Amino acid sequence: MKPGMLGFVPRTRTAMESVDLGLSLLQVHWREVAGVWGLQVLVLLGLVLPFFARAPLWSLLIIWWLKPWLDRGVLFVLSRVVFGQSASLWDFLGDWRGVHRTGLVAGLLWRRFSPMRSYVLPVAQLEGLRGGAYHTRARTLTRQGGGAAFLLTCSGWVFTILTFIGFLALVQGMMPPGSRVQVWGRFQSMTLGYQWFLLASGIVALTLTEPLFVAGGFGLYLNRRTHLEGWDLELAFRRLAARLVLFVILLLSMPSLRAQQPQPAPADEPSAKVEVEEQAPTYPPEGPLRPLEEAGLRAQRLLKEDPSFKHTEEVRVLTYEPSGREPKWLRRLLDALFAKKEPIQPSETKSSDFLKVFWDIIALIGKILLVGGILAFVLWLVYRFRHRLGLPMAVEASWEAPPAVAGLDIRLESLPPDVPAAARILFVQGEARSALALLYRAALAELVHRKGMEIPISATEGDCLRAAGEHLEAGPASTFQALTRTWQRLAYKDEVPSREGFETLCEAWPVAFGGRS
Amino acid sequence: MKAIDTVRTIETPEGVELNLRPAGPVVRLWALFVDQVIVWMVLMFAAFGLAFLGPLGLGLWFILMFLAQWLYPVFFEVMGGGRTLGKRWLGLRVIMADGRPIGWGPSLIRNLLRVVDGLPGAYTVGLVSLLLTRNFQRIGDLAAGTLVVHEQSSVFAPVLPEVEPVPLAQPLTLEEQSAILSFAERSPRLTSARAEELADVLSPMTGARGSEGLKVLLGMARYLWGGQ
Repeated sequence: MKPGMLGFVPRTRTAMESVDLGLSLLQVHWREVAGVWGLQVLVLLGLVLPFFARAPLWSLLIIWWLKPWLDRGVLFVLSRVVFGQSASLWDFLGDWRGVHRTGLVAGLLWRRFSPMRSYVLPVAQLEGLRGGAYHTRARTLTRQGGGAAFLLTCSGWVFTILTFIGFLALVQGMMPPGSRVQVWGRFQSMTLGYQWFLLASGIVALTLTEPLFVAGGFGLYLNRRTHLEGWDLELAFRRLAARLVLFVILLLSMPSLRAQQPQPAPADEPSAKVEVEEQAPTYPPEGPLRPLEEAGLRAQRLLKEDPSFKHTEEVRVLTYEPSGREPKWLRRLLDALFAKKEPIQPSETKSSDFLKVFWDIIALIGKILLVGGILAFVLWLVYRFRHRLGLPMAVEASWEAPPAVAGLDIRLESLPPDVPAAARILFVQGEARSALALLYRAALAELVHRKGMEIPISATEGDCLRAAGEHLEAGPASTFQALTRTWQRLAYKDEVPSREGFETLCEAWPVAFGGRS
Repeated sequence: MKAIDTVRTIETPEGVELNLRPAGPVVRLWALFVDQVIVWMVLMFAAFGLAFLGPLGLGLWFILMFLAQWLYPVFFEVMGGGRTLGKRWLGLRVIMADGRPIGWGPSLIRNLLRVVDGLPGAYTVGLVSLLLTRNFQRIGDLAAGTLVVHEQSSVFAPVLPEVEPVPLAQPLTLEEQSAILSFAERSPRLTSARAEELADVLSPMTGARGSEGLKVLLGMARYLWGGQ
């Protein structure tokens, strides 16, 4: 499955909603369905009618019994369009074997009675399973959505019968009053003409309702597979992964972009120029010119040819012309710095030139390897003997304090020596948020690093509060609670504490958390 | 080709986005069926009671039948938040097409126009109209400007697998976060091979593949959800 190609939006739907998904598919692609359906009905009529020309009602019964074959055409179309493939009449004929390969006989005989026929039809037709594998798979699917599939089948019967009756009623209603045509009440003695009429009504009713039943079942099937295999998740993940990869590429290409940026030049002009250069060789494909593209082309030509759009740029470059009087070393230096690079002449390729270039490349690679190797060796030496150099060793710890919780830095190094004093200064400066943030994260830092409170990096304020309650005596715990509440009110409700309230917190802080001063 | 969806998003004047999921003919048939069963049960019991009143009872019963057939849906739709008993059973709700709750006028219109939808005798017009409109509206719905939608299912706090929380390397959008949370919630019901396959898609983010990547991804979900 390639989610990018999906013709529907996978979600975890309820069963009944997924039936409606199938119906929506049918609404959008009804033309393709109608084509295949019409062909199949014509084929059936052509096969059946010669034998039952004297009793058309029997052919209606046979067509009704052969519905599972008609269903396969509908399902073929819907399954193709769902995965972004075309589903014309020719595709149907071309895939004739694939459509009929598995389970057709069973479908027309004993599976004809299955109350969840349209739900499990894809298992045989699309997944191509038979025998035990088919039954296992069908059971997995019907474990959920089976009830809805049964209701769907019942709806199929009800809709077909209602439409059949409705069609008869419509014909009767169209008859002028006093007409001798009686649609109802002639079921005891049916004339041949009346039987033909019933056959036509029956086919109309089936045409209107049978695709609905198949589409609903297919919707259930798609939804069940989405649940089982997480199609919606795969789609979301692929999008996310594509975004992340794009982000990395952008990041990598940033320096090179900057390097390629042109010198400050008149505004607007470079972009127009670039467009001209890029677009100029492309001309609309064969066929009538579309007015929009033509206008675009005309504008481009104007930009390129009209002198008033011409853009000339004067670039001054400092170059060095040797005069012959300077000392030798200065000359060499200036040559190396400013000498114009002679464009390499595409000289006739001689074998010696080739060899020279080849050796140069080998030498360059050798240099890189040598220098890189020495550097790596030095780095390894430093790493190997780092304890003699006094560098920190990796500490094996069962639990490592997280550097930040809920986005707040709680490393001890990040704190000022006198926390309440620093907070007071911030508060007086009108930065109540920073002041409280400092108090709060300093309290957390003290708890984590001095009192040995263990909290995970994903902890919320509520989690911290709970952990602190288990770790502290009543007094400090209530201080921490007051601090947390004040901080939350400020952070999430933008409610600045009063001067007195803040002062109380600052006074309680060293008592509760034993701040270093 | 635009991908087909059952969700229609509309924006209210307040700038709130509503996700509506119009309900099709199959589920509405059963809602109608349940409603009719209820109405006829009530009518039957009423008939037993009214039988003692003789001809007066018969007259009263006919009045009751008229009211039950025409005003039962109107009353329940307006007083029951857009839900008759059958719709409640099947998780449906009638609302205005712009998402507002339905009032007396529209409800009366859509239910009186059952006469038209019932033509030519067995709801054929209604069925065809439902199939021809993208939002599954019968003639009565079109006239009253109403929709029948699937109700939002209630949302529960997710139950996530117990793993070590792993902080996220990059900021994620709300949708991406909810996809990861939903993955973690559903992962026990996916086969483990499929779960790892899905986690592998995000290996640029988790930096690991296979069961290791799965563990990291579940840890990220745990981190997103917060808590211990």
